[in-house]
Amino acid sequence: MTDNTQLKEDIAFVRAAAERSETPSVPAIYLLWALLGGVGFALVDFVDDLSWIGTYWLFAGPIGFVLSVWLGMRASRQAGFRDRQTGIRHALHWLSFMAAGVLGLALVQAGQLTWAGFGSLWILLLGLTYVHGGLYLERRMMPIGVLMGAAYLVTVWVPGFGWTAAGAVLAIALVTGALLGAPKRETAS
Amino acid sequence: MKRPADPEVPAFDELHLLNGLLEHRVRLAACVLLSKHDEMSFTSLKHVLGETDGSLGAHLRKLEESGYLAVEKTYRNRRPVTWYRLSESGRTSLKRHLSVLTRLIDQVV
Repeated sequence: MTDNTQLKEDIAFVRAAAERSETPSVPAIYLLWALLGGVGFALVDFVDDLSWIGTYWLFAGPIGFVLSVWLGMRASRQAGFRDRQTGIRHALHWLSFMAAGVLGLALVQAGQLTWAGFGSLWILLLGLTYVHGGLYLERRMMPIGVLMGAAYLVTVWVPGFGWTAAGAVLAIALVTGALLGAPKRETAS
Repeated sequence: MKRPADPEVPAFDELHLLNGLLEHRVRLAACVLLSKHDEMSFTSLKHVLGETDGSLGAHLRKLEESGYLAVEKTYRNRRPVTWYRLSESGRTSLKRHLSVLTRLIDQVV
């Protein structure tokens, strides 16, 4: 006979199982973007022709995105999950950031923002996207978002190698996130 | 003759509406997990639920035989992997069971 104590215990068991069943985070994705982001940001300080930066992101952005999707799917399957809903949620999250970045170009085209200002705005958007990711997708993204907020201020106020510093902040935050999230799960069988 | 209701004791009028198959917490948890994630392997379910191979296998077989779960067997590095997915009828039954459970809990709390 089901009584209310049994009922509560069963609900607690189900809830604990649901909390334990989070799909694994993928350190390789963090490391990939530490590399792509670190190099991409530093380019601003070291390359005279700014069109190189656009070209870099034109290739690095989509390649990084596709690689991230592949790495995410691979890690998820190895951990015993085939979770399309989560994959789509992550993809839409980052695509919305890319879309906001592209729409931000309109401000430059309209003469209301300089290229340097656009770059800083892009870092601010990136920070916001990481914070939202921390709230809704994966908690470890939260501190990276906060650090990107600091990196945004560095690009605005620090002369000289502000972009390199921002890239270094991003890379360090992502590598730390990757190290903290190294999987401890058994492989699927 | 109908007994007068005791305000101190929750009247579990809807107990009979609970799905017998989902009354076991392992089967309920397996269905809840599969409603949250599209598909899970046997090993990941075992890991999350903390069950033995034999016990979990028996529970999942019951759910499969009732049409609540769809099963797919694949290979990874020459080792078999069994994937479980909640069927439409499983999803509907789970939803109905959870809504009855929620109403019962509301009576208790």
